[in-house]
Amino acid sequence: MVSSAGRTGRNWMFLMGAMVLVGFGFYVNQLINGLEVTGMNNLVSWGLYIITFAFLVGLSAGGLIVSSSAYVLKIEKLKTVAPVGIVVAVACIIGAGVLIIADVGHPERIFNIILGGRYTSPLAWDFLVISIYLAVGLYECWIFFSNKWKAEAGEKREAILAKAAYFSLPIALLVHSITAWIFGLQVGRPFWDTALMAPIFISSAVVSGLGILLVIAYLGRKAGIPGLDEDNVDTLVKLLAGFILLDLFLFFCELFTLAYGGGTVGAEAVSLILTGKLAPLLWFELIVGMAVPFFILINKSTRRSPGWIGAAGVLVMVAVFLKRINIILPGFLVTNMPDRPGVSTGRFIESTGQYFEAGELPFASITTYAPTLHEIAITIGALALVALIITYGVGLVMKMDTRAEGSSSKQFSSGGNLSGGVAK
Amino acid sequence: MSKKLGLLIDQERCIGCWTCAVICKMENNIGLGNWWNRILSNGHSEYGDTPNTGLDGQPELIYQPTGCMHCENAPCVKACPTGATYKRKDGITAQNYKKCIGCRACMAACPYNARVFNWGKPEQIPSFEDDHIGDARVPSRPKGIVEKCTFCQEKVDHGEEPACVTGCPAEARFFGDLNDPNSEITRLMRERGAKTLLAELGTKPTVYYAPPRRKLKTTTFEGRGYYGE
Repeated sequence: MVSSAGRTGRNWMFLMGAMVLVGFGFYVNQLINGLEVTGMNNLVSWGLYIITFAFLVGLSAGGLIVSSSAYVLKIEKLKTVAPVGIVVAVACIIGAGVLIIADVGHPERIFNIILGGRYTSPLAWDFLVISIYLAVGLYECWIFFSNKWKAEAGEKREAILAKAAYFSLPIALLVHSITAWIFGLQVGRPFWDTALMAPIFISSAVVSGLGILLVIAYLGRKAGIPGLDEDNVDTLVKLLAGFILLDLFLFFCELFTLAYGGGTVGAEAVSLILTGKLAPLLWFELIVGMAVPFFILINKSTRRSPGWIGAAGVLVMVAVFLKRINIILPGFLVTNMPDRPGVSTGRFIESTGQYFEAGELPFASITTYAPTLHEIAITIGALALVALIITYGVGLVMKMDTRAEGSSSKQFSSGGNLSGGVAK
Repeated sequence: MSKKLGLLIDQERCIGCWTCAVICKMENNIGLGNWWNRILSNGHSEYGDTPNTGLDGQPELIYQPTGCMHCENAPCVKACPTGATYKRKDGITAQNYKKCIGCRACMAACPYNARVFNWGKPEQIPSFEDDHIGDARVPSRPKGIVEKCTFCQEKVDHGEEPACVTGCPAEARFFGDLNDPNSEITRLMRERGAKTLLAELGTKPTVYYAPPRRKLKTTTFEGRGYYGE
C-alpha cells in the first residue's frame, strides 16, 4: 500500500516536473521572439498571465488568511490547518511571481522596480509586499518544518506562530488588496475603477483558498494529512459556504451599480459579461461554480462526504478563475473612445495585398483576446510548479506530524486518527 | 512661470488626411503595426468613411487626431512602477526606454489608449538604417518596451516643432506654451472654446481640440421645420 502510494507520488512529481520543463522551453522561445508569441495586443495588453497571477495571489492569500486567522481570532479547530495553509500560500505566491516574470517584456530589468521605483505605482507596492509576504511565508515554513524547532516545546513554537500570524494576516490581506488596486485605481478603466475591487478580490481569495484546502484534504484523505481531519474539514466547509454568499453579494453589488445607471462604458462592460461574449463564463461561474458547490456544502448528505467536498473545492476554484477573467478582460474590451478606426493593435500581417480581409485590420476599436499555445503552456508550467511545491510541502507536513507524535507533542492530531475519521 | 507645452488641433481645419500620423511614424521610426498618432472619426458609418446626417440634414463628420494627451495628472506616470514614464519640466510626458520593464501597467492606466507596445522586434519599412528616413536623434527601441508620442521631444529640445505640426497640410495643428497668454495656441483656446478629451476623468490633458464652428443651413429650418416635417 505504502509503496504503491509512493509510486503514484513519484509519477505525479515526474509529470509535474515534465510540465514545468515544457513551460520553461516555451518561455525561452518567448524570450527570444518577444511577447508577439502571445495573443495580447495594444488593446488587451494583459492576458492569461496576469489573470492567472491574480488567481494565484488569491489562492495564496486565501490559504494564509484562513491559517493566520486561526491564531489571530483563536479558532482552535482551524489552527491545525495552518501548516497546509502556509504551504499553499508559499507555493502559490512563487507561481504568481513566475507569471509576472513571464508577462514583462524585460524580465532582466525587474529590479528597476526597487532601484528606481516610483512609489505611486500599485505594481511597485505589489512587488514589495509580495517579497515581504514570501519572506514571512518561508519563515513560518521554517518554524513548522525545521529540525531546530522540532526540539522546542510545542508551547513555545505555538507562541511564535501566534506572533507571526499577527504579522502575516494583515500582510495577506494587504497583498491581495494591492493586487486588486492594480486594477481598481485606474481612472481610465471605468469598469475597474471601483472601491469594491479590493473587497471582491479578498472574498474570492478566501473562497479559492478554502477550495484548495478542501481539495488537498480529499486527495490526502487516505494518507491522512494532519490538520485536515473530519472535524476541521467541517469548519472549512461552513466557512466556504459563508464566503460563497459574501462573494456573490459583493459581485452583484458591483455589477448592479454599474448596470442600473446604464449608458456608460462601465455599463457596456457589464452587458458584455451578462449577455455578451463573456456571458458563458459568468453563467458557468455562477451556476456550476458557485450555486452547485453551495448546495453540496449545505446539504446534510453531501457535506460529510469527502468526494463531494473535494468536488466542491475544485468547482469554486474554477469559478474564481473564471471570475478573474470576467473582471480583468472587460476592462480592456470596452474603450473610452470607441470611434473608428480605433487603436493600432501592435500586430501586422505580412503584405499580401489583402489587408482588409478576414477582419484583421491594423487598427481596431474593439478586439478579442484568445491565449496562444505559448501562453497556455507557460501558464500550465507555472501551475505545475505550484503543484510540485504543494506536493513537496504536504509531504513535509506529514513527516512533521509523525515526529511531533514521537516527541509527545500533541499539537497536531495523529495521522491514523484522521484517515479513520474521514473514511468513515 | 514655467513652460507648459501643449497642442491644439483645429477640427474645423482638419481634413482627416492622416499626414500627421504617417509623418509621426516615419520621423520616430515606429515599428509596423504600431501608431503613436491616429485619426478617429466622430459621427460616421460602420467603416468610418461615410458621414452621418447632421441635425440640418447635411453630412456631418468630425476628425479627431488622437495621440498622447500629455496629461498634467497623468495616470500612466502614477502607474509606472520603475519611473520609466515621467513628466518633464516643460510638461511633456516622456518615456525612458532603458528603464522600462515592459509590464504594461501604463497601457492599462491610459484612458486614451495612446500607448503601444513592441510585441516583437520592431520592423520598419522603409527603415531608418536602410533608407535614411526619419530623425536620427530619436533613440531606437528594442522589443518588449512601451512607447508613445513624445511631442517629438528631440525636435522640441532644439527649438523645432513636432513633426505632426510642421507636416500638417491643412495647418490644423498648433504647438506652443499654454502658460504664455500671448501665444497663438492660447489665443485659439480662448476664441474657439477648445476642449480636452474625457475631461471628466480629471487627467488634465494638454492636447486641446477646437470644435468646428458649424454654420447650420438656416433654409432647412425655415422651409421644412426643425425635424424636416
